[in-house]
Amino acid sequence: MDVNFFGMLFWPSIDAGPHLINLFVSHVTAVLAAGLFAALSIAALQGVLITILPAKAYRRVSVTIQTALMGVLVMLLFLSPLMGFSIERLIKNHNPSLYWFPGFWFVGLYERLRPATHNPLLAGLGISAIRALGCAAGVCAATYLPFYRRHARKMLEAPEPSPSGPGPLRKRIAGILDCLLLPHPIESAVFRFIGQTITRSVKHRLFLATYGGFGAAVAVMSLGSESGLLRLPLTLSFVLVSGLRAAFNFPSELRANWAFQVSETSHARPYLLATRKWIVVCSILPLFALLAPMEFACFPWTAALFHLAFGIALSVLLMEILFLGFRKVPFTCSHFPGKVNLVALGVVYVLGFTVYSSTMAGFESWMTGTPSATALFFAAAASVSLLLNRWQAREPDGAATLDYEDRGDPVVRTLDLTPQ
Amino acid sequence: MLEIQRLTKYYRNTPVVNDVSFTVRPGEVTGYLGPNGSGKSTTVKIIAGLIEATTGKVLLDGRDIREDPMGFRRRLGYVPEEAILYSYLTGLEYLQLIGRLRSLPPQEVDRKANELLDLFSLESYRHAPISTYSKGMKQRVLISAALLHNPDVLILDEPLSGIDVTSAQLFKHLLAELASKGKTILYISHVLEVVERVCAQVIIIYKGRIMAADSVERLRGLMNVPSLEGIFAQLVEERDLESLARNIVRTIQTG
Repeated sequence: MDVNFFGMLFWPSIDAGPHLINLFVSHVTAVLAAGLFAALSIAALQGVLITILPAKAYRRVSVTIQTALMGVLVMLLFLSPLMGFSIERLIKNHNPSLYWFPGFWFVGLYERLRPATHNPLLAGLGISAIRALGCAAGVCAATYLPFYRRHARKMLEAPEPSPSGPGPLRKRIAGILDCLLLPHPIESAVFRFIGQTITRSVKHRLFLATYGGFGAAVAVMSLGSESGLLRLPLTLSFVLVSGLRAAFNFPSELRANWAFQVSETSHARPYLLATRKWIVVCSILPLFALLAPMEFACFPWTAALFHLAFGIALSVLLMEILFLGFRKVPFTCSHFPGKVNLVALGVVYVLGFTVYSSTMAGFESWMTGTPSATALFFAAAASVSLLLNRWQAREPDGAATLDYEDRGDPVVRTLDLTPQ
Repeated sequence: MLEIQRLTKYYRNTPVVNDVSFTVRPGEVTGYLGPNGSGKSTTVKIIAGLIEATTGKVLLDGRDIREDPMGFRRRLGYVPEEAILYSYLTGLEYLQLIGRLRSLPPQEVDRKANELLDLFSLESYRHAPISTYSKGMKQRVLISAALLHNPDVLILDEPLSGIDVTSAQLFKHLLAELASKGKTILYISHVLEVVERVCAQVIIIYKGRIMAADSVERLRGLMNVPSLEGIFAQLVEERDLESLARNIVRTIQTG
């Protein structure tokens, strides 16, 4: 109701003409029903999960579900305008997606309440909206209301009775990573700390889910054309790396960072290297592993392999560029969001999502038929990444210079006219 | 040997620590006492490198710690005043984090962390998140983390805060044992009885200035009072505490 308040107030008065009250009631009913459906569906899902799952499984699943839902909601937010524009075409084609996406059902409900197009298919979708709302309300009443309140506090707030720690598989993977990838204990410490914080801090998880939802919306919009498929991995990796860059800036339990300050017994290099290794191993490689089946399904295997290699190389380069000047352990430095220049940030993002991915996709197409250019590109990407990495890890004063205090915007700016 | 030389710290033109100098010798526990707001924690935060002094310096074995801050931190174990830990980590994960940050090999960290959790009676909570720990349990994790890398210098700011009687007894013995191994220990506390029993030397700070620095026996003799509590009261208490207590009771009883 709050979110849609201004729309409910103004839209009918713009559109209605002589039938203002009739349109206002229809608009409010359709919007309220859609909002109620979304809220009740999520509550019903929680109610079902808490009823059927044991406490330990619920704890794990609910975290994943919460993150996924956040991502889905953000994705739908970005896709909604596209859906609005395409609804006429979808109805003409009797597209099956009309029956799968709840947003269309509630447009149908609007049509039922105040017929505008007199399309029977659209009006029929309105019935689906009423059924779906009834179904969500029924499941919510049967599971969430009686069980959730009774069990949730007990399950969520009570500590696990005898936590057993990581299983043998996780220990084995951690051991292999330590052996092969993280030779310095500090690298191992920072690498683990990043993973633990990302998976356990609700704030960071939801922040990244928001980026993920945006990336998923971009992915959906890219599907359908070959050039879109070429741009897709690059756009997604841009969303991923820039999302991590932003998430790493937000502190987690800032006052606990004294432990890092007091234990800083090495130069900055292993700390910075661990951050980069985490991004490559835990985000860039999994992203391209997820994209690999699609690549192999859409392109010949040699082209698919080339796309993947190109995407990974470019993502690593992008990471080095975006993380220039990031001399911190993620989540341990104070952050003043007010000093972020939103206009500049917006320009960077728009360029990233448009110019970067389309230019690089064009470059990739051009390079595909030229082996010498391909070899040159990979050599140049590797050299530049390495140089940036070395430059970043330099020690300006010969001392460890990790940042724990963000340089905030000064309250009073001086002109420095007085000689020191 | 840890030497603090003419340490001064100003906050907004107010000296919180004012020209403080003292020495902490190896093999001894030095008590650092003072009422709330006297500058104790500021002094130890400067020594631990968490804040910078306005003037003055800290020397370890004759060398300014600013010349080699990382070398100093490698030899330092620190228990802060407040038990602020990463609450989403488990006790074991926290110790593993600190051990690895201190560049100890992973196998050694795992072994020592598990043994310390056992010895501090936290074995059944090792995989539980710190957010579920009591204050005393958090304090025991902090002490374990400070000792994990076998430091030469220990700075312990109110380490007994929230700790139960048995653990406090253990801690007193632990301090004596660590001192006997030649560790340099600066011990900040409000619990005068413990300070009196374990500290070879006490330093009393009040309003940022050192009021006394000597062994408890010599201070008793000099000031002609039988206990450390009496010495402390004479040096830092400006008010008559008995009449103050009577006034409080009178205030709450007044209809």
